[in-house]
Amino acid sequence: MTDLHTLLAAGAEDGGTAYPPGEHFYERAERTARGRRTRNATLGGVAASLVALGGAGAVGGWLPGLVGLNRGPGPVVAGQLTPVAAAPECVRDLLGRANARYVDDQLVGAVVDIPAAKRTITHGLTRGSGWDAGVVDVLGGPAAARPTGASAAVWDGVTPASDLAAGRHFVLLFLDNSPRVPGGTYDGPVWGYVADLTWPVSGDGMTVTCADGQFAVVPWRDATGAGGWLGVGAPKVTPSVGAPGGASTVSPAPGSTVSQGAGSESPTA
Amino acid sequence: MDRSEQFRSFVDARYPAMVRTATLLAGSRASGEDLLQEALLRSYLSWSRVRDVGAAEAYVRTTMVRLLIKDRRRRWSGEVPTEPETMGAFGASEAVAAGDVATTGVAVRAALRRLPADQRAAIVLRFYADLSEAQIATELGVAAGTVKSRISRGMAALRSSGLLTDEEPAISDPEPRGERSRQAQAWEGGRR
Repeated sequence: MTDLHTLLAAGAEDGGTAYPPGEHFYERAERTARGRRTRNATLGGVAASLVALGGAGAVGGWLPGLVGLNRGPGPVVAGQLTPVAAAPECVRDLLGRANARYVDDQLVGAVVDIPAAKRTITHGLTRGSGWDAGVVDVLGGPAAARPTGASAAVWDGVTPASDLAAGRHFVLLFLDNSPRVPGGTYDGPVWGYVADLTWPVSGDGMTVTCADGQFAVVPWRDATGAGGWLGVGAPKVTPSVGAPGGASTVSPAPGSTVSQGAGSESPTA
Repeated sequence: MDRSEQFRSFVDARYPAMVRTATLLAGSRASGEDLLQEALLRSYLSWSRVRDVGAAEAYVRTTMVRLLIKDRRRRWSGEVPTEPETMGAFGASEAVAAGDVATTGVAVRAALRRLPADQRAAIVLRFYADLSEAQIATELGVAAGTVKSRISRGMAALRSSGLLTDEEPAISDPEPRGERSRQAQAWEGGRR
C-alpha cells in the first residue's frame, strides 16, 4: 500500500532543479510596488480634492465635474503593456516613423538614463554640452555606431526646448566620431539623438504619446525581435509628400534586406 | 538586513520546496511556477505584514491557494493537461504498482489536474503539507465540514482514477508531523 503523502511527494517532483527568481522578478516587484504607492498617493490626493471640492460645493452650492482628471500617461505598472498591434494608430505611426529613421538613416536604438546634470562636451563635431548617459540597453543598429560601455556622451542638440528630461528614455542615436578639428585627434565618441522621436521608459514599457493626447505603453525590450517594431521587417512610416502632417506606410517587401553600414552620421538632433 | 534582503533570502532558501507545493496545487511544474511567482509577487508587496519569517512559507502557500481557488480564469488553474496522458494505456494504479517515481509523478499530477481546484487544494494541504482540517479550514476561509467534504470527494475521485486503492488512506486527522508540523505552527503564528 502506498501512502498518499508518498504519492504526492512523487507528484511534486516534476522537472529538474528549481532556481529562485532572478533580478527580473525583483525589478517587476519593485515596479509594481512603486506603481501601487504612486496610485495610492494619487487616489489619496484625489480623495482629498474631492473632500475639499465637496466642502466647497456644499458652501457654494455646486460640485464641479471631474471629467478628465485621469487622462494622460500614468506610471507604468506591470501587466499594462499594450502590444504594438493593439496600440492606437497614431502610436503605431510614431513607431513606424522611428523605424523608418532607424532603418533608412542607420541609427542605433537605445534606452538610456539621462542624468539631471549636464557636462561640457569638448570633442567631436557635436561639442558643446550634453550628458554622460547611462546605457541601459542597445536595440540594434550599426555595430560600429553602438555604445559599448556602461555610459555614453550624448550631445544635447542645438535646441534647448528639445532637451531630454532627467530619467530613462528610448532614443535613436547617431555617432559623431569626427575629430575635434580637421586633422586633429579623435578623443572619444559622442552621440546625438533624434529629438522628436524619444519616449520615456519605465520598466519594460515605453510610453508613446501622440499629439492629440492618445498614448500607449508598449514593450521595448523585444523591439528588434521577430514581430517587433524596430528593424527591416517592421513597418516604416514616412511623411507623405504633398500632404502636410500626413504619413504613408511602407510595408517591407518579403525577403527584402537592408544592410546597415558602420559609422553613419546623421546630425538630426 | 533590510526587508527586501530578508525576502530574497527567504525565497532563495525555500524556493525548491515552494515549487513542489505549487506543482501539486497547479497540477504541473510550469503552471505551478506561474502560480508561485504571482504569489511571491503579492507576498513581496505585503512583506511588511509578515512579522515572522518562519511563517513566510505558510503565507506564500496561503496566497497560492487563494489565487488558485479565487482566480480560476488564470493559466495556472486551467484543467488542460500539459503532459502526455500516458495513463490511458498505462493506468495510474499500474504506474504506482510499478514503483517508478517519474511515472508515478506523472500519474499523480494527471489525477490532481482532474480535480476541481478547491478539492485539489484540500488534498494537497491535508496530505502533503500535513495541515489539520481545522488549519485548512482557516487557510481556505471555509467551515471544517466543507474541508472534510472536499477531501472526501477528492479522495473518491483519486480512487476512481486508479491512483488509490479502496482501503487507503484513512481520512483521519492525525497530528501533523515533523518539519511540516513546525511550519504549520509557524503559519498559525503568522495569522496574528
